Amino acid sequence: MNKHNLVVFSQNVRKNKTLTDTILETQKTTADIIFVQEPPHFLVKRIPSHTNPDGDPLYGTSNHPDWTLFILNVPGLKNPPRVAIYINKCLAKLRFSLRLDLINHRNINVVAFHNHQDTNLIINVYSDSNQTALQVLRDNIRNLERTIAMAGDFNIRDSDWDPSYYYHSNQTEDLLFITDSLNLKLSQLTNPGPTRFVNNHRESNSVLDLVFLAPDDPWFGQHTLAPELQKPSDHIPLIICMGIRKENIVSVVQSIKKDSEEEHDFIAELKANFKLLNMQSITDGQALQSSVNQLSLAHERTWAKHSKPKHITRYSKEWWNQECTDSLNAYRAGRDLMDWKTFKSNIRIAKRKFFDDKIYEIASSNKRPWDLMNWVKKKALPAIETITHEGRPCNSLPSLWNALHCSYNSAANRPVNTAIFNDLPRNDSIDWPPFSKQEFRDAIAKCSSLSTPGPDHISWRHLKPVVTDNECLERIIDIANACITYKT
Amino acid sequence: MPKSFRPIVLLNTIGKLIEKVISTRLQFHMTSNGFLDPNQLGGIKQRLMIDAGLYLTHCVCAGWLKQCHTSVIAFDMAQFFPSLNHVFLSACMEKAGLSRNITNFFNSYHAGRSTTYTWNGFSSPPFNTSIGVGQGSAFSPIISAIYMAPIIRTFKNRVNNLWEKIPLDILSFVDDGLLVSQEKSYELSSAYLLCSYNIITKLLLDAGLVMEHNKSEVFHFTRS
Repeated sequence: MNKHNLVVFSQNVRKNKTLTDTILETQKTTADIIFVQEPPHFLVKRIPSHTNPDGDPLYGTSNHPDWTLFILNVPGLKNPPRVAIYINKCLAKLRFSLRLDLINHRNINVVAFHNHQDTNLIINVYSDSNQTALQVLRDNIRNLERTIAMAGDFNIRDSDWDPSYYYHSNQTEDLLFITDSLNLKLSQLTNPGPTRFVNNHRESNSVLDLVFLAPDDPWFGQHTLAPELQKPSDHIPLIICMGIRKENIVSVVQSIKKDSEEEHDFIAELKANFKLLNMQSITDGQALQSSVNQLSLAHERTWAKHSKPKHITRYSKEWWNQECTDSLNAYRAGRDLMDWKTFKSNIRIAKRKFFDDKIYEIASSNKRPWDLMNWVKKKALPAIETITHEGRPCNSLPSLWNALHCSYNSAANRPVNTAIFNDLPRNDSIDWPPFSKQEFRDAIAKCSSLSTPGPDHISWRHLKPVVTDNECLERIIDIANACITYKT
Repeated sequence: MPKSFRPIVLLNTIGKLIEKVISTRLQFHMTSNGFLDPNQLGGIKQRLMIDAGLYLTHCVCAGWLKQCHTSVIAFDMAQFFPSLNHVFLSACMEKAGLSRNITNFFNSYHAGRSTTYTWNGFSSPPFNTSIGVGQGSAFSPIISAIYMAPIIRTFKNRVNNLWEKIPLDILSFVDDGLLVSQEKSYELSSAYLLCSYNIITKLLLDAGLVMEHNKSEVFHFTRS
C-alpha cells in the first residue's frame, strides 16, 4: 500500500486578514490542510434582508475557492471562533466533516476524515491563558479516540520543549494527560527553535506552538518551522508532514475539451448513432425500450472512445496575479513594512480588476445581471457538519444513505383521497397531435450550453448540432411520439 | 440535517429535450382550457411571483379605501415535490382533460423509479422510489400546478358553500400559499382565516401533502 503525505500548515495569524488570504493563496499548491489559530472575524458583507433596509450584516472569516472552510458558525461579532481548519478541495474524497457532536467550542476544531475503513480525527487547538481548551479536551477525551494529530497554539511554556525555559508548568501535566490518553506523542522539530517571537526585551522568544502525532502509526510524521513564511504574525508557521494510505486521493474524470477535434468527432458519431436507429421496427413499448437502450449504449461507447482522462488539480483561475507574487517575494526578501504595504495595495488592485472584469462580462456580454445576486446574498457554504438523523450522526455511508432516503420518502404509503374533487367538472378532451420539428427547435434554443450534462455525458452544447440535422431530429421526434403512443 | 438538501433529477439529455417539448404543450393546454386557477401563480409560464406581490399590495391599498384591514396567513407545505402522489396526479390529469395516452405516459414515467444518492463523490446503491416528482426536471413546475389546481378549486367551492359564505381569497405558489381576508375587524378576519386554514389543511392532507404548521405566519396590514 502506498503512502501519501498529508502536509499540514499551522499558524497563529493574529486575526490578520491579509495574512490569512495570503496563506490560502500561496499554500494552495503545497499544503493539504491549514490550521489557523486566532483567525480574523470581520464583516464580510451586508446581505439583502426583509427587515433591514441596509441589509443584515454577515460576519465570517477569510475564504478561498480552493479551500473548504471548517469553522464554528458564529452569527455576531461577539465570541468569534479562535480556530479554523481549511481543507484543500483536492481531498474531498476523504469526506472531511466538522464534528460538532464531539466538541462544540470556539477554541477547538475536531475534524474527521475517512480513509479506507478508518475514521480519523485531527484537532486544531487554541488554548488561551485560562487554558479553557485543555479543560474541554479533558472533559471530552472519550470521544476523541481516533485522533491522529493535534496541533495548535497551546500557550504553555515548559522546559520539555523549550530549552530556553528552565521550569515545568502545571498545565503541562494536564496537556500530557490528554495526549497520553489519546496515544499521541509530542513531535520534535526537525529544525529546533522558538515558534513565537517578541519585540520587547522584557520577554524572551518562546515555543508555544506544539504538534502531537500518533506514534503507533507506521508513518509517524514530523514537523518543521518555516520562518520564511512568518510574515507579520509573531508566530512562525509549522509545516507538519504526516502519512496516510494513498488510495482514494487521486481524482481523475473523463472529459472532452470544448472546440477540440475530439468534440467534433464525438458530435459526428452521435449523429451517426441516431441515423442507425430503425424506427420502423418499433411497434410496441418493448421494442421502444430495447431501441432506446441500444441507442444509449451506442452513446456510451462513443463517449468512452472520444473522452480523455483529466486530473483534477489544485489550480484555478482567480484574482491573484503575477504582481501579487512579485511584491510578496519582495517583502519576504527584505521584510520591509513599505513592501508589505505595496503588497497589500497590489492585492486590492488585483481584486478590483478581477471583479470589474467579471461585472463587465455579466452586464455586457452575458446580459444576465441576476448572476450578480450570488455576490450579495449569503453564500451557501459546503456542508461541513456530519448529517444527523434522529439525533445520531451518520458516520458510515449506509447510515447516511438511510437518513437521506427516509427523509425524502417520508410520504411513501401516505393515503390520498381523490373523492375530494369528484364534484368538479371534467375538462374537455385535449387533442395531442404528433410533435413538430419547430417544437423541438424552440425547446432546445433556450437551453444553456453551460448546463451540466446528464448521466449520458451529452450536454446541450453537443445536442444542439445534432438537432439541426434533419434526419437526427426526425428520429428524436419518432422516439417522442412512440413514448406517447406505446404503453411501456 | 438531511432536510437542508434536496434530491434533483439527472436525466439523459435527449430525455430532457422530449420533456421540455411535452411540458411546453401542457403549459399551453392547461392555461388555455382554464384548468389552472387564476390564483395559481407558481410553475406556470407568464405568471410570476411579482404578480402575487402586486395582487397583495393592490388588495391592501384598496382595503384602506374601504376602511378595511387586510390579514393573511402564509403557509408552506413540507417536502412538497417528494410527497406528490402518483395516483392523485393521475386523477388530476384526467380531470384536466388529458387523454388516456398522456396519463399512461406519466404513470409509466413515474413507475419503477429508483434514486441513487451521491455524497462527496461516493454513490449509494439504488433505492426504489414509489412517490414524488423529481425536482429540477422540466415537468416539475407544470406537474405541481396540475396537482394543486383541483385542490384550489375545491377549496374555493367549500368556502363559498358554507352556511355562511366566507369572503376569502387564496394564492398558491408551488409549495407556498397565502389566505387573504379583508374585514373591518381583526376578530372577524382572524376567525375567517382560522376556519379556512383548517379547510385547506384537511384538503392538502387528502392530497397526501402535509402543512408545515410551525412555518405558517399571520400578517395584518394596517395603516400607520
